[in-house]
Amino acid sequence: MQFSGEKDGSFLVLAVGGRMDAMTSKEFEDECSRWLAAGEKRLVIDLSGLEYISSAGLRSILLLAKKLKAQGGDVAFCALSEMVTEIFTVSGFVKMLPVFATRTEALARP
Amino acid sequence: MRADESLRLPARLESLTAFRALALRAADRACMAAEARNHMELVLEEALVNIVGHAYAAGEGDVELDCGVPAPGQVVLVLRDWGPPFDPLHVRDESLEAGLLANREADLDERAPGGMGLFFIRSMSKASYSRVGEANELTLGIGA
Repeated sequence: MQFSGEKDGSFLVLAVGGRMDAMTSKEFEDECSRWLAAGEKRLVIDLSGLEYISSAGLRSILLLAKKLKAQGGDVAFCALSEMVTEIFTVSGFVKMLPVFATRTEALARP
Repeated sequence: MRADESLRLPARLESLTAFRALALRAADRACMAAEARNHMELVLEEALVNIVGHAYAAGEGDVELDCGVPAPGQVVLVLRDWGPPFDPLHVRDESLEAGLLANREADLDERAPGGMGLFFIRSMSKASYSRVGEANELTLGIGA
């Protein structure tokens, strides 16, 4: 997987690319853990470069969202590809998590 | 089935890369639509993860994948392991099934991890299980 993080106001925007599956989702967990350890509490995950996600990836995302909430933070997702949109929809993740069409909308949250 | 349509590898997550390549070649032969290809990749991974997690609790074993193209746009995957009899499609507990459906409606606090792999297998493929001799065979039909 590929990761690229940048600060935008109080948010940390993390662009994620590649495939989030049973072999790679640990890389995503480790990357997020590093940002959390560095004190980031408000994450925006840009998934425009993510071409594939499986239940293993969903599990990593759920654990991240729960962990951030427990710490008084939050995480939003934006720019989902077609495949990822389908998986987020059928799994109920679109109703459970803040999902936005664009990064701008995700950053405009209160 | 031709030799290039079948592959036997250790039951490990790392085997997914080679299995996936084999399945994608079948999808190419079938001229499969993009959405169905995604579904095929997903159900293959979820089924393999299931086998890696359950089939060989006591040690190491193999998984075999057969890929067939029954009709244009369609691929049939058969995953075979030699673990104890295990039908991943059989629901033994109706409350577990109800829990899975409720979980898809749950909020972040209530949501439990897990259960999605089997949900994807069931909703994105025509899945059937049979015990053939000493083997578990999971057949997954994908595509219109």
